[in-house]
Amino acid sequence: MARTRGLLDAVRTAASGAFVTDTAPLIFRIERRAHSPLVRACDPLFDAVEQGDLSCVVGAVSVAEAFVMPLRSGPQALVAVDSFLRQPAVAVGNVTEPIARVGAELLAGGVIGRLADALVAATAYDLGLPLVTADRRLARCGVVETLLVQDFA
Amino acid sequence: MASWRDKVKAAAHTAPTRVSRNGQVVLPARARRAVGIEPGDLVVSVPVGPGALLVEKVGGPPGRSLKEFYESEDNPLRGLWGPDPLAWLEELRGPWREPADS
Repeated sequence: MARTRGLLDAVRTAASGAFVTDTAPLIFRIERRAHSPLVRACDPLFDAVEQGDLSCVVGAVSVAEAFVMPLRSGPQALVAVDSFLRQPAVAVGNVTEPIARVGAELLAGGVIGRLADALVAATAYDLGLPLVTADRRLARCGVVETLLVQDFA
Repeated sequence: MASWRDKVKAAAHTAPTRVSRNGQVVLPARARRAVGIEPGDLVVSVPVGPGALLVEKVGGPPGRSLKEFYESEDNPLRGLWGPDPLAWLEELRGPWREPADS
């Protein structure tokens, strides 16, 4: 069923114009070379973000992860990541205390098996937005509505 | 990590640029290239302290979308996460602990 409609339609059905992205879909968008079917699956979503038709929240954990390799690479790579984050329809979701507490609960309860994933999911939970991810385990967590990129590739 | 002030000090050998009467300055080509600012880009000037102004790129040249930039050969992020960014991310986040491990 998922393949008959795109990720963009799925996000629009799930929420009123916004979503939280996990780190991998963000990397697909800005790196573009690896996992080309997944890059193509994400493109309509991020095209809509670039056009300002849809809002995208990037959790602070994903910001940190996305900057690791560009920091090792140099200023041009940093600027390229920054350009994504500074789009008008992109916002960074800070790890507030309520999000940290929800993340801790998810990890402590064994609902999500890693702290980074738990904080990403907690960000989506706190904002009441769907989470777009490429991690099958995170997609099964059942805490928030998740959209697995592979289902749309 | 080096602060912007350290980077400015490290680049102290760069020849100074005089501010014109109407406030215009020329951004040295080497500095522009180092941070990916190209002719036609949109920049803003942010005061950061006495005598210090941060010039920050806020948009590319008209007619070229961000997606087109990422698809171009100019994109410095191409291949940066290796052949499998998912594997890179998996390694960064570490093992997934099942409830029994908690």
